[in-house]
Amino acid sequence: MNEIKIIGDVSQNIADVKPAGKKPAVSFEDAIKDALKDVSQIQNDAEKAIAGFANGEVKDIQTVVVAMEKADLSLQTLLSVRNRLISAYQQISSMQV
Amino acid sequence: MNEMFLPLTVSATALEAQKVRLNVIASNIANASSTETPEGGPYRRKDVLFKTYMYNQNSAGVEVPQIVEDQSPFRSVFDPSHPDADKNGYVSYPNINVLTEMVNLMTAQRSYEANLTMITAYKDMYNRTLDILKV
Repeated sequence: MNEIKIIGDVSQNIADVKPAGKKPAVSFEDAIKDALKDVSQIQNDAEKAIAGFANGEVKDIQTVVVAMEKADLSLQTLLSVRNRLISAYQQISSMQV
Repeated sequence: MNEMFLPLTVSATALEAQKVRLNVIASNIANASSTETPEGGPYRRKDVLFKTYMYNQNSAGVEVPQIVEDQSPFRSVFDPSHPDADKNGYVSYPNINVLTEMVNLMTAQRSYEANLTMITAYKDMYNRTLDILKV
């Protein structure tokens, strides 16, 4: 029952999406920038964990592995979104007029 | 974005907790017949306490707040030739049963594996969701 309620909420959110032309609360550019910043931050964390493990500051392997896993997943997310955006752009640009 | 990876963080805390537990079990087995300690007297069996650590309303990690000592009585063995024997000839050995420790060891190991499986499962779910975007 709970899941169904959550799905209901999502569809309400979709109804709230403003039509094109009006300026949305967060611009597309800002959203992408924020996402990039987040991914970069996670990558830096992973790098710090690896360096820390190498010089003995970080003693537990699971911290390093989880940090690397987070970095991998966030990068995969970024790449997937980017590829999808590019393919959408290409589809539009090759549209017959 | 970190919110998305909370399941990984939660499982990582469990891995850490099980590692501490493994360390304690290793000490117990290693000292199963230590009759002398820096504090004097035989080694006392140690055990871990697990405590819930809340990240938010729904995500609970685990931590080891402290390591407690088992207060059960020591094993008394009659051995008058032992340097640590008391005046009646009895030696106090640690209150450790190696079999119990082995069972705890297996539990810790399985628990560690369960949390590793959890991490893999979350990763698979995540990646398969991303596959939707691929055309």
